[in-house]
Amino acid sequence: MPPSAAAPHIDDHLGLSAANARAGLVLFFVYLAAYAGFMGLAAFAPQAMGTPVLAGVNLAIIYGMVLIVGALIVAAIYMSFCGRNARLATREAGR
Amino acid sequence: MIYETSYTAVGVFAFFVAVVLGISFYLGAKAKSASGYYAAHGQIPWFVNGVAFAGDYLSAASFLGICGMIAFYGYDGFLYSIGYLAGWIVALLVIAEPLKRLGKFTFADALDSQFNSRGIKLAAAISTLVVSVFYLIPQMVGAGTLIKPLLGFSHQTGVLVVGVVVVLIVVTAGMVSTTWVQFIKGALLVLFCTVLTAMILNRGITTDPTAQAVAARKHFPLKTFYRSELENRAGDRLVPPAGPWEKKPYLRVQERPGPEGVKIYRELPNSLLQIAGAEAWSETQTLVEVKNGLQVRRIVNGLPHGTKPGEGDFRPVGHVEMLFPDRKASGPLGPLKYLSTFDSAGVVTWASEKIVEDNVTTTIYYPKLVRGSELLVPGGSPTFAAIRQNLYATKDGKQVFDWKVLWSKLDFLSLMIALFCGTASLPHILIRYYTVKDQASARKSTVVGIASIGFFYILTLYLGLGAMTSGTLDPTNNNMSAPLLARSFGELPFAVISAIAFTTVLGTVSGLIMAASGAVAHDILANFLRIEMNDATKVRAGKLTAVVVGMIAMVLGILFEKFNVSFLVGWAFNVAASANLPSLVMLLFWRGTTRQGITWAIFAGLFSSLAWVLASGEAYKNVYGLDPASALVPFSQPGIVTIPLGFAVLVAVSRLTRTQ
Repeated sequence: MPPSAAAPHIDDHLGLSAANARAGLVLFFVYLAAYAGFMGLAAFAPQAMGTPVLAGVNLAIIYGMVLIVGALIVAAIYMSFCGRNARLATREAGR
Repeated sequence: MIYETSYTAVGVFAFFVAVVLGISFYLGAKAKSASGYYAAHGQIPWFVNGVAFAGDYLSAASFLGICGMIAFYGYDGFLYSIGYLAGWIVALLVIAEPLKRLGKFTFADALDSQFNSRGIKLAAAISTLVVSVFYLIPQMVGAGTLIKPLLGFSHQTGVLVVGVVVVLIVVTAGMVSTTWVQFIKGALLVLFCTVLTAMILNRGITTDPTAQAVAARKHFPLKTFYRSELENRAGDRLVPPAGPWEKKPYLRVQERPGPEGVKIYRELPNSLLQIAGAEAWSETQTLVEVKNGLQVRRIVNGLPHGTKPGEGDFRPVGHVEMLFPDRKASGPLGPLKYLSTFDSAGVVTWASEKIVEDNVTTTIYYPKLVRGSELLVPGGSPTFAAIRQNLYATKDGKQVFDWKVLWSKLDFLSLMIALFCGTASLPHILIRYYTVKDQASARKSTVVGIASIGFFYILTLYLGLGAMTSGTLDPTNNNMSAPLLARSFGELPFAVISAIAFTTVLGTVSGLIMAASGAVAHDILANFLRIEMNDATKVRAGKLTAVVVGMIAMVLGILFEKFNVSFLVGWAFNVAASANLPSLVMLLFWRGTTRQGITWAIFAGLFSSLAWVLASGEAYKNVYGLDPASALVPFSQPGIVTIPLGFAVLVAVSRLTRTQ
């Protein structure tokens, strides 16, 4: 018996999972584009990475930190999407 | 460098192990059912699971390897930090929820949820086993390499201690105890690295490391000379450059008779000093190994290697030589100011070269004076050096396309792609999704994981640069950089960081052994071979497998002692991404996926990436001892080819078998 059948939960609503997956994919491609830009610069224009961009700190470091902090921001946006989807689904189910 | 056993470190480590084992035995009674053993009843709170993700993921390679790479080569180590963290986005946005929804104990469950195919179960279990073992070897080798300098025991002892403790953790309470060990380790690692970073920023940057740390007292300063000055002083004691020394940038002075009496100076590679008409030369540190039959005499800096009076050892290195504007110490700095101050400083880093001559092998460790800004862009390490090169070379006045440079750039891109795709395909990470109660918890715990792991990876930059300028680095061993950085703040921080580094190995190894144990007992024995097992026998089978896998890991850890650790971790990511990611993604997003498509894609990704790795230049050099130029494939990291290959095979086979 799959665990979902043993413990029914609002998330198991398939429409909800699909809505979450769509939001996830959009955010994924946004992040992927940022990551690909970083890889491209590092591989083909490493000298551009040495340009100071913020408080005397160069692009390589700022871009790297943006990718790390950006992952957390993307995660937070995704969580708020999922939370909103779950609230909508609960309201729908209540009608 | 020779390290004295730190009894405080041994004590702190013993305390950690005692706490961890105590928790395991206490929890042992609670994990008697299969769902308890394999998935901690799906009852782990999401926050704990999130920190446990960090404990599971931040392996010895992350902590010691990245810090060491930054401490020696600058930015390039941070590239790994970025790639390792970015991979979590794939885990969160693509894999986490469906995996939790579709599976029960292992990732094979999720892949097979719609098909009930024995082929998928076998393929997924084999790929789990291969990836886990690939990842286990470097962890075990890491344990052995660490224990000697950190705690003073032999390599074998290190491997055995880790093996026995981990098997005990896994066998007592399976995923329950594994989770708590990983939680404790993850929390400790992030906490203490934060403290260490605060200490680095508070110390700032100084040109005199001996003034700030007892451990830097014997620090090797940069002394430069003009060539003519050295030649005049040496007179006829100057050894003429012959054989392998010809055309090398060394001056050798015979100060006493014999190979041990030769003092070596090297032309200083520098991007800062501009001395008109003359180059600067500097003193070096040397290891001379004289073979006499089976015996090898080791001479360090002109004296027999040892710590007793009359013996010599390497001196700690790594410092800032020039600080702009002209001053000796910066005082406390903020996180951005630290980086911009480092950017404008003149930093002394160390490299080495080995020269073999009949029965005498000389390894020269020499300083380089580098502008900080050069250390803060990609391409400073030998691994990634080619990304700074131009795709076009000038030959006889003509621009010629340089294929070698292109292959090296593709190698770099391939590694970055493998790091991005590999995280969400690592079996020991995937099984953590079954320890929480639902998809919302899976999601939340991934976010906690991303926050703690991301924060840690930002710290690695400061830890690495802090170590580089601490005056306490071991020029012969970059894995020791993080603990030695801690030593520059005193013996207690050194003991705590050493013990945490060692505990790091425990957390990751227990996760890997759990993943392998699930693959064998649940996927192969129960589901593929369809051996009838009740709940209790399933747990027993899992525990037995854990013991066997643990023993195999110990043997491999001892056999692979001399192997390059980071090389194997890179392989594991490539193999995991090539074998597992195509099936996971296509199952979720393409309705046309068939069971044959999944099975073939796993095998194609697994075997093609393995074959590529074994036919690569790195394997030629490190495994077979052959010339890397004669390798069968143009670059070493397979991901850029074998991940798309996995997708292509899945689509092709699925289309061919769809009507069946």
